[in-house]
Amino acid sequence: MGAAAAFDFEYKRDAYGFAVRPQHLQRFREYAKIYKEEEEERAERWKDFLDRLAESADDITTSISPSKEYAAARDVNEGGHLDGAENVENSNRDGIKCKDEKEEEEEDAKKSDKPENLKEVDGSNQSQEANGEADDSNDVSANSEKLKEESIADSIESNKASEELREVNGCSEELLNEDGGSEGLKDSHGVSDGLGQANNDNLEKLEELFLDKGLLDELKPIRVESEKRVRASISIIEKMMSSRVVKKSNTANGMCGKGETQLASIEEEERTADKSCRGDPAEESSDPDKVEPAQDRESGDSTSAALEGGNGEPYFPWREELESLVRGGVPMALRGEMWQAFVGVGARKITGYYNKLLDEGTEELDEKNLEDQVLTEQTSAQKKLPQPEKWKGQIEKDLPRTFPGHPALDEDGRNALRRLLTAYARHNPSVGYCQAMNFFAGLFLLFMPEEHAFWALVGVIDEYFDGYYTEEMIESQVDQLVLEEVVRERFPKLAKHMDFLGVQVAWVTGPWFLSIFINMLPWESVLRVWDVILFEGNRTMLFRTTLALLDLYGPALVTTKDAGDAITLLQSLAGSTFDSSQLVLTACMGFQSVREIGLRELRKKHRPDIISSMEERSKDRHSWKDKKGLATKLYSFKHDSSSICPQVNSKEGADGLQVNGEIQFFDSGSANLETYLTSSTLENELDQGIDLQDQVRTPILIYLYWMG
Amino acid sequence: MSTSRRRTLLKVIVLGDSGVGKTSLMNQYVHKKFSQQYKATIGADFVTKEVLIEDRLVTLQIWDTAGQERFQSLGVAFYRGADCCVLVYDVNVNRSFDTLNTWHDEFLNQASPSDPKTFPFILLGNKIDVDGGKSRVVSEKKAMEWCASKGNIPYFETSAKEDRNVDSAFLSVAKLALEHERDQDIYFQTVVADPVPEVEQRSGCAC
Repeated sequence: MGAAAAFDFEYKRDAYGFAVRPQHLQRFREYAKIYKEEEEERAERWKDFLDRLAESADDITTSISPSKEYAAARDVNEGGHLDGAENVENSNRDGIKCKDEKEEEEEDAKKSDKPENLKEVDGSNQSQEANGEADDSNDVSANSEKLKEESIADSIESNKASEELREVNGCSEELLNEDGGSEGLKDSHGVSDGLGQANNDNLEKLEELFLDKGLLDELKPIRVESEKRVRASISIIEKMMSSRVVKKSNTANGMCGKGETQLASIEEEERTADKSCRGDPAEESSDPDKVEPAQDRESGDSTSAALEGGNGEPYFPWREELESLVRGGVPMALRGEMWQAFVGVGARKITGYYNKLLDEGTEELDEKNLEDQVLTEQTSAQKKLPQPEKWKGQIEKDLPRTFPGHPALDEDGRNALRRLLTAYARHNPSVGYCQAMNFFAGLFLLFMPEEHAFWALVGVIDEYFDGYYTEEMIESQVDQLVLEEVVRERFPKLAKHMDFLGVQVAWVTGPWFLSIFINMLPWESVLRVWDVILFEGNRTMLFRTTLALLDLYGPALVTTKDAGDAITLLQSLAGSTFDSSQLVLTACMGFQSVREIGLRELRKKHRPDIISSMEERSKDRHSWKDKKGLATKLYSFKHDSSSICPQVNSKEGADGLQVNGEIQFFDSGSANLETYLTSSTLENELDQGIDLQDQVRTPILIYLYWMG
Repeated sequence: MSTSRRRTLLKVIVLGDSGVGKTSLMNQYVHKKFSQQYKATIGADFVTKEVLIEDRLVTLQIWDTAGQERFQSLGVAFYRGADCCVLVYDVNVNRSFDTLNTWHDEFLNQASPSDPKTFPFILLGNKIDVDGGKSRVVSEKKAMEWCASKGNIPYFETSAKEDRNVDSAFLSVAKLALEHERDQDIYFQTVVADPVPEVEQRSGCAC
């Protein structure tokens, strides 16, 4: 890179626009070829599958057909002019909107690649709200088009770079021109014009990593030739996946930290086959099926029960095949669509809810006010806002720290991200905003329209990761205890070595779980893992992936001589796990016996430890002077390493844990030794489950170093 | 057994509000780089750096933590066994200074060191470069007073961006941590009566 000296931290970017760390560039390049080959195979397999799926469901297909033509047409015309990762969003956005208008525009659209088309597309944005669900039919095609473009854009060497760059620049100008026309479409719109403004700096960076165009042709079949089938098939998949959302919707309103919520398993399919042909524009906003779950969720009544036809038996014979395809990776071109289908965006979506959340804040969410907000928080004691949205400042801080430099996250992209996170925080106050969600939201925004990204986020945080990102982060801690146990069972030798070094696996795996591997693995691997997680609808894949990583790198880890080396090695090996297929297959096949059911049991077992420790700790802050029980605790610590039984019984399960929002810290000025001993033993109780020797480990280490 | 060939490992925890520049300080110190574009730290991150102090090679294990308050729930696991705690605030943001008490106390609470009264902390007032110092709201005096109230914690004013005082601050960290670790050694040599099981464990782990 020419400007290397000045831009040490300006990373190269991959096909998704994500940064590739300098130290990984070489390997990334090697793997880019493999990724491409895999993608080609994948495209074929999926195409074949979707075709067959469509054949098996003619009825659905027919109902969709009206929309398909112009979707295809749009496809063609849109395909040409966007480039770079930004376009993924753009295309999505556009894809969403153009519905009715599209028909009229079809003519023009077909013809060319000109900026005017964009304008038209943009104009059709207005129909977006109304269109609601129907968008998706177009989305796929747009998506595939875009993603193709994108992959071309970013990935490999640079013979074509200069012409590509020119094209790219041209596009961004065109898009820029469009901005004027689209104001007022607040939510639907942010990203799309943002994308247009992809700046030249980014493009220059992208320049060096172009993939050759082969992939585009490979994917074409999916897009054009069998557009209709793809649409139909996706509808079917979506319906299958949505069934668990519908079931879940009864409880959806109580997102607040219920410990673990059991997701309806995928096998329990609903049979109501007539719904969810979401590809049909005719259904759009008036489709009662869309609105119903929504009302359900809001009112808590159980209309949705009616939708649950089947009682547990697998209704979709192709589910297993789909599962294996998902494990092999969702093609880039379909990823946005598939992810939405997996999370059940369509079934979750309540028309107008997202906008309502955004409107709740009376003040406009523009920069100025946010600055004021931050200022307010910093200076006065937030007395102005009756219910201060205390997460606002944090969101602001994190916006620029979310995939910094990603071409899609320019000012408009970040505005979209802000809206998304703000809406979510209002939607689920028990979570509000937790760092890491910025990455999830950012990722979703790259693959789907803003409002859909919101519902995807809702699905993931409220359900898949229920209790994970709340103030107390209970489930997150529980999972680490569970993992610890599983690791000890599966890799006794490694576990022993880690004990010896004084390393808790959770030091490294905690951040893995919390970030769902984002920034921890190379992007291709992250996305492959996400494919599976979103498909499965639970956190099993987190465990399996982690176990797979330990399996792959355990042999190296056991050769390390100290804690620092071990941690650094594991982190860096994970960060260079470019062989995403090996990772995912090892995870899914090698650790297939790690199942959600078993994990649930383990969580149940470990949760009380966490909860009581949390309660103890918060109690400790209140009544730290109370020395009662100290002896007992010390005793139990010393003599019963596995006892996690604080003398104070936790009142009940996770639900009961209302660690008082305000945290009171003891006055350090008057702290005395007993206090610390007390808190120390309390902490020990928490730690028992994680690591029995930890308490003495570090000193021992030091001691050993003295010895040898 | 001679101290000269022994490799010393020191665990350092970096704490402070979100956005005060913890990651940047660490990166400046370890990698000699600064970027405006850091990603938010989730949970915790980790780097090591070797330093030579008084002819001794010391390895600092520096734990960079997430600044968002709720991540403190996860702190127990990370804080334990620390030899020094680096508190960071942004001299341009009052709140980041006001929360220092919280970070300080919560660290002691969670790490539960054997010597809470003398456990080494160090305070860094970061981002002194911003606006040429004009946007500064926490004075050096105020910071020093706070440090005095906590038992004379060493204080450094730093700029991760301009690499001001970063090395000297971390050198001081390393020295403090080393002292602390020595004290711990003595402490444990006397307190840990029977080292035999540990040695066994070690040999048992010749994986």
